Amino acid sequence: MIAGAVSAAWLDLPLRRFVQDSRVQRAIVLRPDGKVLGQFGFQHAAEVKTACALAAAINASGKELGKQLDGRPFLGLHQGGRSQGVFMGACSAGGKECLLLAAFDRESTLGLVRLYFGEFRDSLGGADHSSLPREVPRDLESDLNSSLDALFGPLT
Amino acid sequence: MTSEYEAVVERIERQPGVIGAMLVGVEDGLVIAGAGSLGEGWEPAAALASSVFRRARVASADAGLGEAGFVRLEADRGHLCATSKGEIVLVAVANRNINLGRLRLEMLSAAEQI
Repeated sequence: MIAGAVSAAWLDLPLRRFVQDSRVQRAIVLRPDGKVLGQFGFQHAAEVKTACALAAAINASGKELGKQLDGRPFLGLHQGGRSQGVFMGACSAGGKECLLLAAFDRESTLGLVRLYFGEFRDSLGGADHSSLPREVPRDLESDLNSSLDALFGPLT
Repeated sequence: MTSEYEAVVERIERQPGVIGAMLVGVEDGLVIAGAGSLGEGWEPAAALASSVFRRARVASADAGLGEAGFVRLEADRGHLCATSKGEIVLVAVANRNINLGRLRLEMLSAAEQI
């Protein structure tokens, strides 16, 4: 069983199902500003913090690159390695953009991850987001720290 | 050459009873070429078929049976057959009326074309 936590009930089942079906090793759902909503497979808050910051930066760069090349932002990203791959896709929850970042090894494939990401995206679209917390804009680090505290408890 | 890949899947798709045929990357599970009437089901079928084939290959090796050359999945309404050449899987989706022996021979022969 992969260790995981989410900050909102509506995300728990879709994320759990995505991880189990696609057989990814790790997954994070975050806002484009880096605020983490849920994760599976990470053991330490510091790892999540790093992954979220990098994912937010990659997403911002990819969006801008897409706009410059094609006039539209890219919606997904895949980086394949010899034994591991990373996938990032955009989805929407409660009218707000979310990103799912997943790392997978040879137990899965990009095709499987894309297939189950589609189901994850659809299930978020139909979920009850009434438990979405009202968001007060703050800086990236404050957002990251507060959401990590919610998932892992305060860092000591 | 994409046309060579398409010739392979079209050869299989012409078999009576075949609903669709496709070439899929073993490592990424993505469609290389496809022919038939799977509609929007191509990508899911490709991802799942390559996963089934990979797992069958591992199971076969783990059981000491050597490399899995041909995999057939029987379902209520038809069959899913797969064989590979290198890092490419040739997949056929067929209805219950298919002549499985003939399809198998065609697929093994077509895979050599890749």
